[in-house]
Amino acid sequence: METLLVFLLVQLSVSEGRPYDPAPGIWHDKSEARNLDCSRMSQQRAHELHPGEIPAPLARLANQESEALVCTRRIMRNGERPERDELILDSLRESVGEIAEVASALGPGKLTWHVDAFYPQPEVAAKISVAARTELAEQGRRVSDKVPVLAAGDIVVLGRMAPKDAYPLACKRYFAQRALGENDAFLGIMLIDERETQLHAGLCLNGEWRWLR
Amino acid sequence: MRPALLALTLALVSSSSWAEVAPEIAEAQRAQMEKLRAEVAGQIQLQAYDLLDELVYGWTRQPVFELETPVVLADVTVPVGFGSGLAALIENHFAELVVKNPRTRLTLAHCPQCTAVVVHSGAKGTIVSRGVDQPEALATAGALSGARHAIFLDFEAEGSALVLRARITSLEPALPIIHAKTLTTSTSSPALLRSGDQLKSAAEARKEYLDALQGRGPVSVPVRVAVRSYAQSPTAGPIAAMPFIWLQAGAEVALTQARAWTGTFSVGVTWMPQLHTGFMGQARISRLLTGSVASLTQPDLYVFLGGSVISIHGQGARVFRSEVLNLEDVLSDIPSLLVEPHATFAAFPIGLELRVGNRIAASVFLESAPALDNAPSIGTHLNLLNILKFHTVGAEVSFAF
Amino acid sequence: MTRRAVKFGRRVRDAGWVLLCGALLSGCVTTTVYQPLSALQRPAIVDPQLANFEGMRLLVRCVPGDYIEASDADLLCRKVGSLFRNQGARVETDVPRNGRSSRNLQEGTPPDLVVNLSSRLLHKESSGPLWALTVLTLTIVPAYTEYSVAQDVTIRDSSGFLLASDSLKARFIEYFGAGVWGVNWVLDAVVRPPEEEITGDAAAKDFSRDFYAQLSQLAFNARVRADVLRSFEPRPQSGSNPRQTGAVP
Repeated sequence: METLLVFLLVQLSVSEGRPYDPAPGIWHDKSEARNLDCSRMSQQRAHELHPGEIPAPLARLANQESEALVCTRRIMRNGERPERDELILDSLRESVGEIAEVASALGPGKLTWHVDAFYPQPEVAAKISVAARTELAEQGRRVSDKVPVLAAGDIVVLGRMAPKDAYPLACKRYFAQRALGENDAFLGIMLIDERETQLHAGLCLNGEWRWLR
Repeated sequence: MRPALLALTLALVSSSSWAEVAPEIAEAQRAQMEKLRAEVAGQIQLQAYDLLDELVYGWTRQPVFELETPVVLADVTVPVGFGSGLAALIENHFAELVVKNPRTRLTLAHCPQCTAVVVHSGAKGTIVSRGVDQPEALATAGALSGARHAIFLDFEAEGSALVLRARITSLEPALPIIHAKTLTTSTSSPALLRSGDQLKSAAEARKEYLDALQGRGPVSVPVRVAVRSYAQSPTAGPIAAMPFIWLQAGAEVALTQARAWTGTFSVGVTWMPQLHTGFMGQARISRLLTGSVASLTQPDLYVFLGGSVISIHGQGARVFRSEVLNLEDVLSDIPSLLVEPHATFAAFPIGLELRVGNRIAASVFLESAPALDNAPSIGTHLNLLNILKFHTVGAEVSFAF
Repeated sequence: MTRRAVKFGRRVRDAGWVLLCGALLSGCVTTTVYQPLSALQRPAIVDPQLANFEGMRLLVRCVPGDYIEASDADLLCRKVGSLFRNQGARVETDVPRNGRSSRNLQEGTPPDLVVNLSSRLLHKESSGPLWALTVLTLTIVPAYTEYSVAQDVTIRDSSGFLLASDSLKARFIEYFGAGVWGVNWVLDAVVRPPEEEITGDAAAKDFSRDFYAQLSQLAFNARVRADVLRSFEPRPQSGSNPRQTGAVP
């Protein structure tokens, strides 16, 4: 019995007696490790970012570059939200930032920007459009919270069309119905295929639709 | 040597590996998930408060409006997957911050119709929407209470960061956004609850946090109450050691700023009327197990190893001696009974210590005293391969000053 | 039983012991733990068992470097090629040697997507004294070697336009020791559910599943992005019709 105890103590202390190591093992299971986002960086940088968790490199080891593995736990664990929603929301800042940058470059001048998102889940669609409006407004664009709407008949017809035809036609209808004017730009952000995990965008200017990404 | 990545990559391209992943969440997991979600809500509430503090602090420094302006808190949205309870808490905290910080030049106005669904019929048809999306309808109904602006607060969990997107919209037909701000926990200070009426900038909060970390002095004075229980030898007669209660005090030095290693030197005393008086000197070194830096808020677990010299005087010391007196000894050598017995020996403790806030600690330990191998009255609690014998188990409660 | 038969039996037994010891000191005493660092742990929506790239031509290029030799890159390319072939694509592979590609994009039918794979070693850590202690204690005290690696993926169209890119990072810890293997084997047998097991080829299976899933998802995203940027005009050779969903205005 004692021999076995010694054996286990040796294993715990030497090999996996590192409870703060996030790798799966005795202390952490695999699913827990998958809820972490980790990156390697110098210990000095890691200490600056997380002074309460990572000690400063020792002065006597100043010549040696020591590294730290910094892991942060994701707020929403795997499985808490539908997978595609989680992926879209996870990269929302990045994707919306890219879209707003491209759109701003293509729609210069004193335009009033309107934004809407087309995504199967309304609450996620609202998050996407809010993020894009905020991003454009922070870039100094004139942004409206108002979303242009089409007549019910138009929506019924457009709903039956494939995206490649629906968005350009919707853009024409917005302009024709004066929901958008010459000084208005409409940025549409959407999902095209149910199997993808990225957002696409198109810009409607003067009744002309242009795919951005 | 083949690269690890490649060796693993080549393991299989079989489709069976995907079959193992069950996309459906089993019913049995749902309850667990709900519990987890409640736990996460508690964690992100603090982060959300922190972001609101930073937002309002920014407005006190650079107000959006030149004059005091009534605004409607039109909408608070929480991360997808969370309920309205969190939104209510955020709303309350935001209102408290605005009230306590008049330098924002914002006054919250009451407008229940703004968030309600309203139906407006006009020349373009009948529109059903939230009140704030139809300002002309609200104005007609006189529901705006003088407010001409609406604040929207949107929180979203994006990976490991909580993101706050705040915008202020002018309640005129075109609904222009006149102010927008994005804040994220990944760039803000570590979560600190700042008092609502004394907001700090992120930089100030970080400095305060660093001061708190560095303010933990390198030296502290621990006072311990310990109980040591000696194993009874199976061959021992009627004499057995009773538990010894020790009072120890000393100095502890953090060997690193992170308090990952600490060293302690202490002296102790034990006394039992008519039985024994004892003294002890002990040095020990402790290593933090739960992380690389001692936490300000969470309990820390240390493992320690030490060395002690223990000296016991009085009748109680007889159990530690190598000879056991029998009746013949007593009768033949009565004068020796008049001399007070004493025993001095070295002991080496190893144990675990749980500390809270570096102020209160509880520990358990095993102690090996090689000199007691020859004491017939003392047995072993744990014998490792006949090489290392632990004669004592003990527990301590410590207070650090 | 003759003396010769007894001697033969003893030799077989001895050989068995030698083989057992050899096994303990080599393969089976290694326990590899896989930890996804970034991107690999993301969920993937696309099902790699379906024909996601029906009728498409893909060029998979595996770039050898300091971390991956040409022969290993060739093997990697073949495996990744199989992954996309299983999803209905026509796949060619290319392993550039001495900086020169074996496939000229100007010749023949251009591929719809060019998938570039290159690997980097981010970090390696191993303790010499610990290895010595492991040998002295007959692997009761385990040693370990830790690797952090990145698999960079870029997907372009035939004109070189970047459609998708990502860096899939993983960490592997190879524990060497009969003890750590034994502890984990017992935990796998008694405590851990199958999806949480660590010993055996669990690390290889987990990494492969993540790697191929992310690769498939990236390629599918690239495919849809290429369609969008082409304004949904049909590809010259392909007759595939992507499934289109999502709300419309």
